[in-house]
Amino acid sequence: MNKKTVNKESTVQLTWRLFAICVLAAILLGATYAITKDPITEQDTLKLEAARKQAIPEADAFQDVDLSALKTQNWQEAYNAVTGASKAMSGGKAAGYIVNITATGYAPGIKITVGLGADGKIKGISVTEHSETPGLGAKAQDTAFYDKFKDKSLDTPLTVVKGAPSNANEVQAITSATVTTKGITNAVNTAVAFYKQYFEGKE
Amino acid sequence: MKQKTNVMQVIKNGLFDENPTFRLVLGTCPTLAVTTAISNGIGMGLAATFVLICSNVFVAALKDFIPNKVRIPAFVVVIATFVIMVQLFLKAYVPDLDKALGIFIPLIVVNCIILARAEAFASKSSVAASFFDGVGIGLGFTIGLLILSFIREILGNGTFFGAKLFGDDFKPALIMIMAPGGFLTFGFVLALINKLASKKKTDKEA
Amino acid sequence: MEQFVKILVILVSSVLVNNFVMSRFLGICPFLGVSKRVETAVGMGLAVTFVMALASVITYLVQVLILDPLNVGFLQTLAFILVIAALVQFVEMVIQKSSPSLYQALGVYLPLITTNCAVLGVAILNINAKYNLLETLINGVGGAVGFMLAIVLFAGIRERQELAPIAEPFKGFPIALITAGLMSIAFFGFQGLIK
Repeated sequence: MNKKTVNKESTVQLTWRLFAICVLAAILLGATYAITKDPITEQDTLKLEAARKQAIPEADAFQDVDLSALKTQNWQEAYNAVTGASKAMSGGKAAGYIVNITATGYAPGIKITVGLGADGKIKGISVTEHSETPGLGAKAQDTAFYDKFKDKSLDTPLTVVKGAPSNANEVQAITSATVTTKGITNAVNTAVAFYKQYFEGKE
Repeated sequence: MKQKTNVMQVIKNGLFDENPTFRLVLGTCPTLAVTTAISNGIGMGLAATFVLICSNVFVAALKDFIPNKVRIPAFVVVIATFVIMVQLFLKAYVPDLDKALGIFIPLIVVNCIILARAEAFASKSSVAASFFDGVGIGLGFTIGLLILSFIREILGNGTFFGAKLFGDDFKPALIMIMAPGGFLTFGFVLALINKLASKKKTDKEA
Repeated sequence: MEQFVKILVILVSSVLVNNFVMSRFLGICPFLGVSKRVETAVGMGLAVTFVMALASVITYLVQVLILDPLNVGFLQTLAFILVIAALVQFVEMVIQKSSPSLYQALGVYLPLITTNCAVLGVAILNINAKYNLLETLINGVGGAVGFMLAIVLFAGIRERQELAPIAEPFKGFPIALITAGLMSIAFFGFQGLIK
């Protein structure tokens, strides 16, 4: 015979039962997080490596550059989009520089890795993250798009054209995704300017 | 014998009579958003089914413990927990799917199907029944996603599961994998299913 | 000046170019469910705007003041949905006290704002886009205004569809979805606004 039936709906009961469920949730989540933490970091590293390889294919080692040291030397406002830079080496010799920069197309947050070589050319680019339209702006992750930037000279800033490019410094826009292309191209130009200001000639 | 009929009944219910996508018309946001490719449809279907089954089982198991007044927040905490588990799991082991489904993975937590099943079924049923309900409804949702992805990927991208179907000259109807394509495909398929369902009803009555 | 331009871009983008309902597929359930009458649509739109604006700001603060410093970013989904659920509960109480008629009119749709993917969606989008507090608020308001625009336009069309002869299998959701598809195509026209 249950003389003392607990009132499930009393405030005390409501509070501690909800709390108990939250504790249970926290335990499950903590465990999952602990298990997946390393694989997730590994995935991020793999992504980074793949992007760097796409940007400077022959590189086998990278040395990160401390951006804070550069901030005191003539930092332009556009450089705030730069999220990282590293020196690339191939077989112990300097192979160029990698600049990571974020662009805005239709939506902000397009992460680009640009590879710049001492030979005065863009060695390659890679788009690692974006929220552009699937089928249109998303084509920015196609190799065909990356190839548009390969071997472009660092001398003149690149411009976007809708038709076939007539000049070496023109990039043809992705069909129906001119905004995305422009955002990325502008960011690449900023990365080039960044490289020229801080790294060119300092191999 | 009776137990077996019950399980099949519950699963069939989720697939047909109470198909969440086409009969209950719940969970429409992901249905429209991720059906641009068959691989995305399957991925989302499986992820949501996992959350649904776990949520149903936990809610059924805790139904006497959860006070009525705070049942919705309690359900939400349970559902969110499993959604986060799926998020972490995908980020760790299937990052491509994580990128493809994007924001719609965390949005599984507000997928009305899961909350509706917790409220309408799991909180009033046994753990076993809730498990199978989760399986049935989840399968129904996944198949709904598959049907729509199938149509949209083939017409909008010219591929099947990523493999090119037609020659290079085939220019797919890009609009199918964009926003309007989602609405239109869903609308027409729903009309078709309505027609089939009412035909089945008149056949039965005849 | 640049901040002002950025804000204008965010506003135009969230209301028209990347409309939450028509391009991003967020908020479809209430879009289909509450759009039968224009007055209900307007009421729902206003309630959602209020919730989305507040939710954007509060979730941003939660992310910046709690989740990031403690390095528990993976709890974002849970933290955000709890904030939203509490917020909706709060808004419900406020409306009940201040405008009982509106409370009656919105009925069950008010608590359903919690499961409106547009609310949680905008909160997550704000963090992903790395907006600051002001930009977050503008995006939240913009997204909601876009939602309201879509839902009210849609209600206007659906009210007239009630009187039109429609084939039996299409009645209800199918024709609504097809209509939404056509609206979505129309919204494509706005894509050229952002150069």
